[in-house]
Amino acid sequence: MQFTALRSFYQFSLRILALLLLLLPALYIIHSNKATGSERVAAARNSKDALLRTLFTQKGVNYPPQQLYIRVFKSENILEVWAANKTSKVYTHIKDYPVCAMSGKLGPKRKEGDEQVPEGFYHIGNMNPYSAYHLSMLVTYPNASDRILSKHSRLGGDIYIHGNCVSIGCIAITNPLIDELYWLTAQVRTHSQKKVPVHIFPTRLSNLKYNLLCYLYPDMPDMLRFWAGLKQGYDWFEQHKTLPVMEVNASGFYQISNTNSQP
Amino acid sequence: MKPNRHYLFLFILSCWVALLVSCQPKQVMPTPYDSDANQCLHEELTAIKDCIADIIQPTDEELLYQTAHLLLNALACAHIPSALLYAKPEALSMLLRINIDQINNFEVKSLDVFLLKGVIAVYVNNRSASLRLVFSRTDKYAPWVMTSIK
Repeated sequence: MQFTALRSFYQFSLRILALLLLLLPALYIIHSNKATGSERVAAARNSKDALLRTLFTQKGVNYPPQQLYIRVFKSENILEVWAANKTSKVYTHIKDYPVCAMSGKLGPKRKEGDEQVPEGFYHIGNMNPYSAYHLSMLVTYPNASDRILSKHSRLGGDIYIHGNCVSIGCIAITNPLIDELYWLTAQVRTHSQKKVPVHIFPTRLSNLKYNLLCYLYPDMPDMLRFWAGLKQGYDWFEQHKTLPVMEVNASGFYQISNTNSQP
Repeated sequence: MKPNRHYLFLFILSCWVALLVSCQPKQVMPTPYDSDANQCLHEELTAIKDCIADIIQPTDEELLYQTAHLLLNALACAHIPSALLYAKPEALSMLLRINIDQINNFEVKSLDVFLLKGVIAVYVNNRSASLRLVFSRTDKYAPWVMTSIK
């Protein structure tokens, strides 16, 4: 009897020890990430703040700006940053960042695991300094339009703009560039703009490129209709350089709101 | 009528007849040398006539320049069916990757023809970087068609 109890205690102890041994590396990784998370942001600030200040001064926009706007063009592999002072509300083009990696093809994300980069009107959800891809900023996919237009119950998520140069539905712009963009966005979010808009387009939706899309995808009328909605927002910004107010209609397609007022 | 005057009249008449006979066109039979010379002349004239057709044709470079102009004008109007007359669909789809919005203006920087391949470098919208439009044709007399953009 005593022997059996001793044996079971021994086995129990062994299990606890094995569990601890398994947990130790994970705890170490979490701890080390936490330690480097703030360090990464500090390093981003130290290396990029002066550069950003110079850039904004050259463009005639306050630094840090009151309003920030990010546009991504999938086909061109470009991430554009625009900024505005609160008084003017008219955005000024600040810089283009080349996208290093972006998985999928043209067209919106409609289900989990399709490796598509979403297309539509989103904003930055939260900032992750502990990212496995250096630094990352969450894109608020899925939104109302995605939920209506998707036929799948699992839409996926965790779409980030991040460092490094790998992508599974994300927008990777390399570590030095995410340092710059992360620090800029973090300041704007802290000081003036809780929701930094991120508009993701299949391509620049000018008449030329939209007509080209219509020619290349004649058998996908729903997608063309979806892109026509995106084009309304694109055209508004191109014309007025102010952010469009977009609505999602009952069918899930974007349309420009009547509340938009010309600057 | 006196006999002297009669003779004079006959003399003048014979002179007229002689003059008329001498002025008649002579039938000249060409010699073999003349025939050969004619043949040579005919061949030379034919060769010149054929050559004129070639001489008045635009050069390969002019044709390429003309095609590129027509293509870029069609793209500037965002008219894809017209652009497809001068470009393959896969070449046009490459345009999506180029970081330009619309084609507002363009200027040809350089033009090179390598028999069945032609390359035109174009400045679009006054940008400092040029686009290289690659054209090809199936034979020397076929029209140029854009096959890729670099």
